[in-house]
Amino acid sequence: MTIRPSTRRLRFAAALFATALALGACKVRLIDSYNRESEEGLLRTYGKIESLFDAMTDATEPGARVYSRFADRYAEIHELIRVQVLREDMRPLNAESRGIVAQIDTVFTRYRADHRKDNGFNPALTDRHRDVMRRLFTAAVKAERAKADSDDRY
Amino acid sequence: MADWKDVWNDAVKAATGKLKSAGGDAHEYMKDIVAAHKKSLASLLAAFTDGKIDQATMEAELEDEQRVLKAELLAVQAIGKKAAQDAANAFFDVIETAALKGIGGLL
Repeated sequence: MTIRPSTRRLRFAAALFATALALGACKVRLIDSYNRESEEGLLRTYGKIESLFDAMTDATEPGARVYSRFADRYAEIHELIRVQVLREDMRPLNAESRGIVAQIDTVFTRYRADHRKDNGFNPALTDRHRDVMRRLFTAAVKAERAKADSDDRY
Repeated sequence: MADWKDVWNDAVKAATGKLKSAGGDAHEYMKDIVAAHKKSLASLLAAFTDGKIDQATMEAELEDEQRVLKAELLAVQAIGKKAAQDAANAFFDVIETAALKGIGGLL
């Protein structure tokens, strides 16, 4: 059977059309889209953490390091972290950010629990803990910004 | 109509371009991670040696250090995933555009 050139052309066009349709319909999705609210939440929380460590650095006398003086700040920060945990948990294709925020929660919870248990803190560790938090939040912001497309602004 | 060999090459070029760009970002960040990790361990050991922290504190801090590293590697993983996603989509976009152009040329 011989196929007429016009039929062949039509078949080829149909094949191209099917290809274009199939490719257009299925975008590859491995990771969630960038979420500005998520990044802003991280930066806001980090700001509060910096403020907490500033206050701890200023507490030069042992009597000024008691937990009660910092309890409100800890509670406020912990609330923000828990909101962030929930926010990241609710997003699909978001295992990385979810994992990072879970680490932030674990480490901050330990800092708070130790301060409460000892009713004070070791000033030799303040800068170290501030640095740990900075690195954790840097990772969280980087993971969020990695999701941005060129037309997303952050 | 476009030659399909050219289309294929363009698609591969578009995909590798995306991977190269993100690979540079990930590489720079990895360098920062390694440097920070090294500095952090050195300061921890110094604090222990100087008697500023005890054994239990040292162990707890080392555990946190592992947590930080895990978080940082998750961020690198996110950069890699987005790069792979962009590369795959850039590849298929080139083919899709060529297919649509081909239809236009035929009709």
